[in-house]
Amino acid sequence: MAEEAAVVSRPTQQLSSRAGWSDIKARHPWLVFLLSRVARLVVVCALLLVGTFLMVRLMPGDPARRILGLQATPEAVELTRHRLGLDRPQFEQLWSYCWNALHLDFGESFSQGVPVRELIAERFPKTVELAAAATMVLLIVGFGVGTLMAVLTRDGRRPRLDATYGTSMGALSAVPDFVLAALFAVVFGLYLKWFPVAGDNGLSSLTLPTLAVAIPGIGFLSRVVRAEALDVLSQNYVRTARAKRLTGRRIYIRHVMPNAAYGGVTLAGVSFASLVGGTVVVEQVFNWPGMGSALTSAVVNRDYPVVQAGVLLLGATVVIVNTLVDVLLAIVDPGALREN
Amino acid sequence: MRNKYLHALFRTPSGAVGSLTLLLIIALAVVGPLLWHDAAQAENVTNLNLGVSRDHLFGTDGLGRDVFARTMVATRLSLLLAVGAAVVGAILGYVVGIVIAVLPAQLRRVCLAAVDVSLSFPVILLAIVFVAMFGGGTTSTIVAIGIAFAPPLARLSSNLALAESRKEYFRIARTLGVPTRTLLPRYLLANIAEPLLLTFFYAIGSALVAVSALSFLGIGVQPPSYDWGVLLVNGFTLLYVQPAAALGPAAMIVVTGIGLALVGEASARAANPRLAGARRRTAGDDAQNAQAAAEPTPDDPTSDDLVLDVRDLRVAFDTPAGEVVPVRGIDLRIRKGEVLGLVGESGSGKSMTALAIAGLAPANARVTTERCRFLGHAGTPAGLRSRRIGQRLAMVFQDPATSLNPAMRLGTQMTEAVRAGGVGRREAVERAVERLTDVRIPAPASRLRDFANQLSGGQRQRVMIAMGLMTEPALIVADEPTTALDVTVQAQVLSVLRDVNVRSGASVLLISHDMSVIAQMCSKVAVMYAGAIVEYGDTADVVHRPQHPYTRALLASVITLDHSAESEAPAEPGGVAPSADGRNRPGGCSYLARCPIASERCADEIPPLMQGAAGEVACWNMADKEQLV
Repeated sequence: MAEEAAVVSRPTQQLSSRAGWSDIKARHPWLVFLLSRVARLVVVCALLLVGTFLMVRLMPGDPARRILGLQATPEAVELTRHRLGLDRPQFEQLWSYCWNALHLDFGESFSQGVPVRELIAERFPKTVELAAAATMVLLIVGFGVGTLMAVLTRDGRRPRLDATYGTSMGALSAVPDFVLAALFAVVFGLYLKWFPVAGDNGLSSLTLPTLAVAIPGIGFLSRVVRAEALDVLSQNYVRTARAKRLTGRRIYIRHVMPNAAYGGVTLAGVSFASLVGGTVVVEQVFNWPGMGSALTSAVVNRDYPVVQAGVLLLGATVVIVNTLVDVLLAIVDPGALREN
Repeated sequence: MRNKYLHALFRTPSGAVGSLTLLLIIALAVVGPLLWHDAAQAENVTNLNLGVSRDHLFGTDGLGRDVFARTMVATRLSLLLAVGAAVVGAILGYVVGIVIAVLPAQLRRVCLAAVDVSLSFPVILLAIVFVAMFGGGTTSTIVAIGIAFAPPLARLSSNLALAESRKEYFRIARTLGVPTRTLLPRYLLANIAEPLLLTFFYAIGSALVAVSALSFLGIGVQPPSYDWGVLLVNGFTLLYVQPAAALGPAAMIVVTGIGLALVGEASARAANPRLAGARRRTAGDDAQNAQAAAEPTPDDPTSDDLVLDVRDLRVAFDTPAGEVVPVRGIDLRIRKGEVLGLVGESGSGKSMTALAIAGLAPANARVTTERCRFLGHAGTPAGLRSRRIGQRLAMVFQDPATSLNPAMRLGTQMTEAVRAGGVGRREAVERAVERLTDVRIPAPASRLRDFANQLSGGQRQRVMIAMGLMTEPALIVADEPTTALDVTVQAQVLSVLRDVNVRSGASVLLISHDMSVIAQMCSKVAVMYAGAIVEYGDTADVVHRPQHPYTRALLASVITLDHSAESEAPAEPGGVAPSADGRNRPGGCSYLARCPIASERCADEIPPLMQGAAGEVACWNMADKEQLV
């Protein structure tokens, strides 16, 4: 309070256009909000396009030489350069790259000789499947466990459970996804033979990869949800709700959960990024035929069109999901929208 | 600082286990390559892919090499890679972050937006991009992961630096003209070094995982070099033949990771004691139920018009330092329609009294009463079996901004209590509109769809009052209802409260530190000091003929226009207010140390509430002489 009062307000020049803008903002908060999010999405995707374009251009060496190998004749290299359009001006190349990328045309895979588009059509849905399943497990278990622990350990109740939970969740989030994946493959796939270790044979083969992707995030998310729920429990409006003699159930469901969800969803959005990163690694372990395993083998084989497509698609997915989370948050708490 | 960390590391079992594990791993990194180098390199075609045995703890690989020896040797490279990547990330991230923090505002916003964009990408994806650009291998792995780690570290350091640079001392130093070359290291870096170091520590753990992941994917460390990731993926191809070759290196990654996490957590706890475990105090149900059960009072015919009758209310807390008693045995009787003021300085226990009466005292509080009746029913309002009678006590809290749920429409918040009691939706909404009209909220029907942040502070408090009125309360407990509001709004809220009292006949217990607020509103006043009532009587008497020296001091601190010339009143209470705990409390009057008229008796005996010239007073020197024994 004192700090705020001490802050000397700087004289700001109020531009007339500014005033008009704030007027629009006040009248159509949703419109302004959605426009700003879409604008950001477009900018980020544009940056992604330029980034993936530059990625290949900035690499030392000539892509054509890399395709053909060191023994290739200069004529052959020149021919390939022409075929790839590398002899055209950079800006023209960037333009046609972007134009084609927007049509999901990334050229041909260097190593497999098939159009990258076909590869994507085959691989990308598999990654979406895995990521969606893992997100669902992450959210349900993370929120469930976090809220439960907050209720059980509030006001310093059950200190031993509290300590055990903290330590075990800390340990859980310290286990990397690929190690977890390897462990699962050995224990549940190899010894217990509950689930297949590799490939894609429906739900049973989806189980292990999903758990391997979701569990490290659960350790993190459930702790955040718990802290968030405890924080909400100590808020004045919960005291108000108690003063109204509401039932404990109503206090939790209507007053605590929505407010705890806000922080939880924010973090769920953040953890989605690492979750997509997790799929890249876990797909490799279980031989899951998704975008991630295609991406890693493309990096090993220096198959640049596939690398570009993989990075672009996975990156765009993360950005789009984050935008959706922002919109979701605004729906959960329209008050924040107005202040935004 | 160093001692603090060491102490914290070994104080908790998890911290001690973590530190010992890490020390062991570091020792292994130093001696591992020396001890096991030969065994790790020795190929043996007769021993291909052997399982676990005495000679080969983790079995052998496809070239007959001992996997255990290789795992031990790989410790050094794995750790070096992790630390290296974390160093690259920290240097890049921290430098960029702090530079961003000192940029002009416009430019800073752009840079922060750019950092945020890169933050939204998966770290491993960024690392893969950079590895793809640099080609695989040890150095490029370090650099790639370092760059991929930079954005979050940049964001963190710029946040910290910005927060620091907004603090008073920093502004003052800048105004005084401390040169930038001193300002940056001595004022800024020195103060954010601790969290930055901690984060660096965490970054090593994440870097270990990232490095191993890249190696595991076959795009990090390239043969013939090997780290744990390489060994893990090699073992993984032999999974069916001999799983130990994969599990050994996997275990090392996990153990190191957990060790780092445990140590990180322990040192974070040392840096920030608030993380030591959330011991939050909130209203609990246990205390309420307990106190309701201990209530065997018979009916009392004289208490017919008493809304609330509390005798000997005590609130105590057990703390490690001993028992703390913020409320030490007070009696409160509130009649129908009465407005009773409870006045005292902060820390006098008046808010705790209100919370205890409403059954909202913290869970660890011990609340006891000799007798407590609300509307003729035995028990505190909270302890009553019947929710509906309990709801006839309404609370209005000090801070309306935080006392309303920000994520729930006002209409829902207002109606939920009566709806739970079986009132239909339409009727409840109609009643809510009526109540909002009562508290003079304009356009009440449309306000029901609003959220709390769309109202002004005064409106929020009036909504709180209206919300309390929904259940037709017999008693409204208003705990400093106007303290958070500015003066003109205060007057509005008070007049609404008085209106409500007159129109609905609800009694009001008004708690305030402000004598002028009490004087405006209340018919009776109880003055509270150090957990006890020291004076009780009609407002006019207490205000114009205060008995207790504390009441006089309290009144003297109120500057009113018509009394400003009176200078013979005693000065503000001097000295230090006694703390609520009983440890260093003398046997006598709690006001002794600050009292200008103390006598010998005051040091020996605690004065009870006695009949005074008008009303009651707890002072040996002011009570009616006849009463004194």
